[in-house]
Amino acid sequence: MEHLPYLFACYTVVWAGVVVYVIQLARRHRALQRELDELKHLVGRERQK
Amino acid sequence: MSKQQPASGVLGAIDAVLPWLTVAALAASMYAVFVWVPNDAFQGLVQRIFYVHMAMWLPTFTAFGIIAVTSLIFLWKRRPFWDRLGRSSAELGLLFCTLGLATGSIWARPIWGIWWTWDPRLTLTLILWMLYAAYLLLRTLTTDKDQGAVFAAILGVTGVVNLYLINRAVYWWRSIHPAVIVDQKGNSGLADPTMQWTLTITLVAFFLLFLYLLRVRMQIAAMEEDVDELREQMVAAR
Repeated sequence: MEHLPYLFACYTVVWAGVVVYVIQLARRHRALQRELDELKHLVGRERQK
Repeated sequence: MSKQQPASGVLGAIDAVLPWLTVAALAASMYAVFVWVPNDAFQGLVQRIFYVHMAMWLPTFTAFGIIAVTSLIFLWKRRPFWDRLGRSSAELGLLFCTLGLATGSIWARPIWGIWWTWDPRLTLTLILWMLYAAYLLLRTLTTDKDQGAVFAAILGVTGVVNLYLINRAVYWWRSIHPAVIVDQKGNSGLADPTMQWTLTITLVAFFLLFLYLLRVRMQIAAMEEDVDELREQMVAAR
């Protein structure tokens, strides 16, 4: 059991890395979707003018 | 025209199944690593790091393989899809390479007594990490987006030599890094079949995670291109 902290640290690093990346992807996706909707709306309005 | 198209047919089925398959495989791998597999006779508990450490390298090397192939096709055809696939792969390659180096370092401390050594394989892997970073950075350092993509593609094609060097490093130079898991006669460093199964399950689980994240990252890259296109349309309309 003397090496337990290393095992714990290793799997914590892996899962933290994956989770942070997934959260970052989700945020980017949400922000892009919002921007896309706004731009589509603006382009549509410009075309109507 | 939007590049985000709802997946149909085989891709649609993959999109529906892949997330659940990935979660199930990851859960199975964690069960195998922490509950099922026995302790190694020499390294003890800390040998369980090895399973996840190995699992980081399959996505890392696959990602650079994808970069090399897509870069070559992009330089030839100049179609944005290939650059998008290369860019998405590079981001994931950087993630898995970072985690691979980190897990290796954590394992090395109790086993080798050091966090890091300038061993040929380790050094070449660090160079691979730098290649990933450079591939992504090149795009932000050039003012012309297309030029950045071409520079990155050239790096992607030439950088693939490093993969071969990483593979050969343990044979060509004196190295403390373990050489092979299974030799040409089929002898394995993992004596217990439970250990072999645990490694296989963990390799498959993290490779599925890589594939799933690549699908998601590709969709985001398509959205980024749609946003750029709409911005250009807005500027042209005004």
